Amino acid sequence: MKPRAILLIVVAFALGAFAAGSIGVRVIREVRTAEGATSLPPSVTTTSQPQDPVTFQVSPTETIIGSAALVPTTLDSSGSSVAIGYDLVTLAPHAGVESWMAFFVSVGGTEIGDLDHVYPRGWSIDTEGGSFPGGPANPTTRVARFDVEEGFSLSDITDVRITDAVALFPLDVPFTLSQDEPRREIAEGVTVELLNVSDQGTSTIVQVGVSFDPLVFDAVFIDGDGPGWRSAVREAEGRPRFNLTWVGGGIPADIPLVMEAAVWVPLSGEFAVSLEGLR
Amino acid sequence: MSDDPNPDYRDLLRSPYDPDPDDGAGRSGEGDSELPWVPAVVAAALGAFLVGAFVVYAVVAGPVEDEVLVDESTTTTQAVPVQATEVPDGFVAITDEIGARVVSVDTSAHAITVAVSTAVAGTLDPAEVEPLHVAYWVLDDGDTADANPMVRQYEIIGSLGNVTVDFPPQASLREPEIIPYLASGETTSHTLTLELDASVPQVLGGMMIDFGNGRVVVIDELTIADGWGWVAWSTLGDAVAMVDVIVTFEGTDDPGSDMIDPTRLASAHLQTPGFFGAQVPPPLYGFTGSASLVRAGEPLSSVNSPTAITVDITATVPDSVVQGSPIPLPSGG
Repeated sequence: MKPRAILLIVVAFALGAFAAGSIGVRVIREVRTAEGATSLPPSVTTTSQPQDPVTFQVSPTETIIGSAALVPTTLDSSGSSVAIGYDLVTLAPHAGVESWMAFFVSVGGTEIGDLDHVYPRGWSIDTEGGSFPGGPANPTTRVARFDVEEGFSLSDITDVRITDAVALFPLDVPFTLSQDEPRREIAEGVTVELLNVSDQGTSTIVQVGVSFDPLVFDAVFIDGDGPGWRSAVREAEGRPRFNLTWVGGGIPADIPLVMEAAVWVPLSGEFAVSLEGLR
Repeated sequence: MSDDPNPDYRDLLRSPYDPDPDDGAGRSGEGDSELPWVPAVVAAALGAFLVGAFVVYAVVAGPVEDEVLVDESTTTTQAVPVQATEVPDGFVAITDEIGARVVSVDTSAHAITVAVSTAVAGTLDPAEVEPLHVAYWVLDDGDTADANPMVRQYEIIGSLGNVTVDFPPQASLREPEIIPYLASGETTSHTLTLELDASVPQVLGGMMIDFGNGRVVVIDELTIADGWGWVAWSTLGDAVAMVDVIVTFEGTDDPGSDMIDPTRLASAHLQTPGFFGAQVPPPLYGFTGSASLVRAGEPLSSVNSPTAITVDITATVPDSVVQGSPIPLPSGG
């Protein structure tokens, strides 16, 4: 065979291989990229993949506070007042949790967490000219109100921040009271006092008073600690007082008790709130 | 030709389009037919076929070990392992579905108290994800010898996703983090039933429920009185358990309540399940535990006395425990 014929055959072979290779490499890359999107191990994430919306993600402008999402719903202004309405949606996993455990309420056939245990109590509206503090009146309110100056325009708002958010946690504290030490601060913001001890037949009635800062504690219950106690009863009205019945024989000098409380725990940091779509 | 001293060089320097000196003819159309087009086409097809076959093989076989595929269309390298999916602000991924973070740490005379929040990851629906089932927590300062297991963990009704964990007050808080040890897989429950005479009060102790592999639940004290009771239990072999006790006063009457079984003396969460005013949640796993037993039936009397007492002690243990990711405590905690 002539040298030029050999050269031409070689060049043709190379061109054919190159063309097929170019197409093939692209095919390999696309196939493996598609596989990678579905077969990566659970510990791997890809930020470029769009995520499908699901029911709990009620708004892309939600703010995560503790184990809940805050979603602004309304923005109103009248005179020297601004009001921001919002919803709280739980992010806490709760499949299989009894509804009575979660204090769920049923709305339109859908169970929704009653998220009074997340309390965004301090807010701030920021403008070029300054900041205006505000917030909801209590944990069950879903409106944050702000006093602003006359002539305030919603378009002046540059930022909205939650500056003080708290969440409700249980706190159990065992303690003792005695005639020698009838009054004690058993946790920061909670003081208990032995008010009375009286025999009643084979039982002993122990009366304990409690004072606590409602900004720190949502609820406080006093119970007996250990064997020998019947169920404690809280007095219906007035200051928090608890009547406990001891049936364990002679009552100990150091009376064993326990505080079972729900305490507001501050969540560190500030939380930016988006008003997108509300003005 | 004979005057050419270097005929071989001339031959080499000749263009393929030069006439062949040997055939005595100039360039003509006939000369084109001598180019090997058919073999060239066959060669090109052969090359494409061979490379194409390799492509098919590569697609089917997948990447070879250690091969790293980089998607040039994004700056994200897919092979970098990070947390399972995006979890909300400040949370550590504990499982593929749940993140947790420590909200606060409080030190007092009776305990180091740690508040932990949990939330679902990414776009998961929290109604479809089970809460964390933590067998126990360990407060670790980076030195295994100084790791402190929890004293107890507990929840409150209505505060979804939040749990409080108590650690020994003397535990170290140097380089602190807490580690959840997750109860994974199935659980095993055993019920120990005691048939007792009808007398009250009775104080029992020392009953054991053996789950094997050194996992034993010990009922340290069980007091049964007419209107109250008390149980305290512990475990052997570093086991964790949940324990419930139901005392039944056989033969006592029913005051008519269909919400609360009047014959039973039990933990409040068992007495009033589903009752909205109930304040006592079910217990979580623990190394030890105690509970008051309450009863809502008519007081025992000569006309309402039990004929016998039955005690059902049910203990539940996780079949396996897996260490989760450490969660740092807040600075200054």
